[in-house]
Amino acid sequence: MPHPRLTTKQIVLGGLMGALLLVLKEVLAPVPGVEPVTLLVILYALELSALAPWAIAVFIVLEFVLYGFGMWSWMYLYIWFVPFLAARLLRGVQGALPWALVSGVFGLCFGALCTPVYFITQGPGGALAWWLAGIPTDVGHCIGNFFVMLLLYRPLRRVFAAIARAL
Amino acid sequence: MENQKQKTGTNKKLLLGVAALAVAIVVLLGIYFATRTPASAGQKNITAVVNTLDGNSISFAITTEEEYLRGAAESIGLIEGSESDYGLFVTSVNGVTADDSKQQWWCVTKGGEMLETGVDTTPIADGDQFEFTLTEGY
Repeated sequence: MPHPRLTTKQIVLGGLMGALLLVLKEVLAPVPGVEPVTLLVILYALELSALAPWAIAVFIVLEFVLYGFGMWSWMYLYIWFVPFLAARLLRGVQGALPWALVSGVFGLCFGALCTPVYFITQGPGGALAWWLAGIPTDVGHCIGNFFVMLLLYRPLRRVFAAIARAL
Repeated sequence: MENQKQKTGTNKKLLLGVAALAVAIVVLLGIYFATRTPASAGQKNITAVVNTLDGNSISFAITTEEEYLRGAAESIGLIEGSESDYGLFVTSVNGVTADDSKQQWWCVTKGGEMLETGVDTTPIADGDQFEFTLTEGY
């Protein structure tokens, strides 16, 4: 089966979706535990699945451009593809509450998902210490993700469904 | 009738999911507080050694009532950095800034041993020595 090629319109839209991730993340950065990236990545995966990986890739590159390449960059190479894959696997699930749970679980596991990088660079002790030190942050991330998804899932899913239909 | 039963079953599962998430949060916070190294109150005298890439080593004696390394080092303006989800990410020590483009970073050790906590959560005790070593390569 030939691989479907993206149209110019889709490439531009994917870039804008990636830029939207960055802009909203930076705008909400001062609010502890609240980030829009998980919400948007899940909605991208559900409604604009062909463009979602490109949007995530653009977002990651923009983060690298903005902050430079550091230890955290290795985690960014895979971490945002986790909610994307989870959403693709669970795409049949309907309703705000189940997706709020998925989003909350991802927030709670964020630190644990980052530990492979510390396991490689600092050994099991370093990875464990990193995870333990970040537990309060992960809890805040979990609660923030849960309520952001609960509040915004329905209205934003309708918006992205409309965009998908227009393509 | 069948639909009503299915809906009730789904709602129960969702409530169980929310309850499980709440339990997971409580358990994780329990692990966090149970494993946290306690800080000691009172005045302490500690030493901070700054090692740069040119081989220079400068020692700073710090007298402080701070409980964690960050507060002690900041009390004499020794460290600067950016706030991250995991506390202060040290980018500059004694005015020397790590150059990201050269993969430089500040390695913090205590008596030569690699710290497993950030500067915000590293407790200090009287007589401790910490080393800030500019390191190249991730």
